[in-house]
Amino acid sequence: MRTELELFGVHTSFTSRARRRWLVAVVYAGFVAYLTASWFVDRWGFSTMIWIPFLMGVPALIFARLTGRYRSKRILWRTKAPPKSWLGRFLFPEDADLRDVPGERELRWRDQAHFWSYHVLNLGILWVWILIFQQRQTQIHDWAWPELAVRHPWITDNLLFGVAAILLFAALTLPDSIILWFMPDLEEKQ
Amino acid sequence: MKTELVLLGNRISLASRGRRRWIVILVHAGFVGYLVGSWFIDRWNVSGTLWLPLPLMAGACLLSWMTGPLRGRNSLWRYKDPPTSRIGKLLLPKEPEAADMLDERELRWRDRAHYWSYGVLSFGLLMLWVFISQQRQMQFMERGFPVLASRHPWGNDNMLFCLAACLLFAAFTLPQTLLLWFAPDMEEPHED
Repeated sequence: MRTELELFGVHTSFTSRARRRWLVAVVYAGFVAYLTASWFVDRWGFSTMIWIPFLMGVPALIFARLTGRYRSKRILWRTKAPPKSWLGRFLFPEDADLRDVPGERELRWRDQAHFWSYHVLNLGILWVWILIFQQRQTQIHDWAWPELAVRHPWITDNLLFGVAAILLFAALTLPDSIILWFMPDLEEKQ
Repeated sequence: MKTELVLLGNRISLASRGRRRWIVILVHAGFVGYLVGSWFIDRWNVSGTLWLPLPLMAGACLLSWMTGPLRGRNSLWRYKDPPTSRIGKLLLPKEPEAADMLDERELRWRDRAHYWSYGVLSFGLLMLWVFISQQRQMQFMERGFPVLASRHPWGNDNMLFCLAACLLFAAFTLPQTLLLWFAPDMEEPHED
């Protein structure tokens, strides 16, 4: 875990758990606010198509940078023997820097964060599936919610898009968020 | 991890990794086979919507049952203090049986399997997102540029449906699949 984040030349300390939690809360609230606002602007038209990849990618990169070794290619450096294949040698450095190799405790944190995130994704995917099911089987939709189908025929399309956006955002950021949220206060770098 | 599977009264030993891998392959191939077959029958209409949960849940339940205590509610029993909240008391027993609790090694297996599965799932979600975006973009293009829209084969409903079905199947089965695939040969249970 990094204790400091450098953004545009400004160094911000992230040793305090409270500050990390604020960052996580602000990022998630910001994403939800953007989705809400863009709905009112153009009903998730061009506002989401063009800008949403940035809104997903930038927080994911910041989180990954903060959690550092938990989520990066360096994790893959934990090889017992030097890679022999052409692809292996291309992907993994022959002599990994030992300081970059995560310890057992760090790996435990990483894996556990993914375990909990996995269940959130599962629920989301189930929901996406239900929406696609609805979209496909209009007769079932009509049978289950006739009033809703008649009054709001576009509701499934938009819901599907919204849920898929939130789900992808969660997939990109959730394990890092869990680590940032639950990791206790760290010591300042000397 | 269970070492034996009882299916319709027949006992099947699962101690061998080779046998477990065969079952995993059969479950996954069965699901793909169902998807392919039902496409030719009715283009994933009734077979894809009404009957799809059946092979999906059958595969998920079988693999879940085989991995046993590595997945399931028992894994939640690892708490240090008895639950105090109302929900905690409802979900968790006050005194879990020591035999039902996972040891450190099993927890590590479970979490590592979820770590790898998470990567696969994220990639699948990205694909799903691309399809849904394309589908929406098509709607916009049809309004603005009907000629361009007709040239793009993207945003296909069937592709979206198939991808979502595979993703759901992966979400239900992938961690168990990894556990069953990579766990080494085990000892046969001894009958006293």
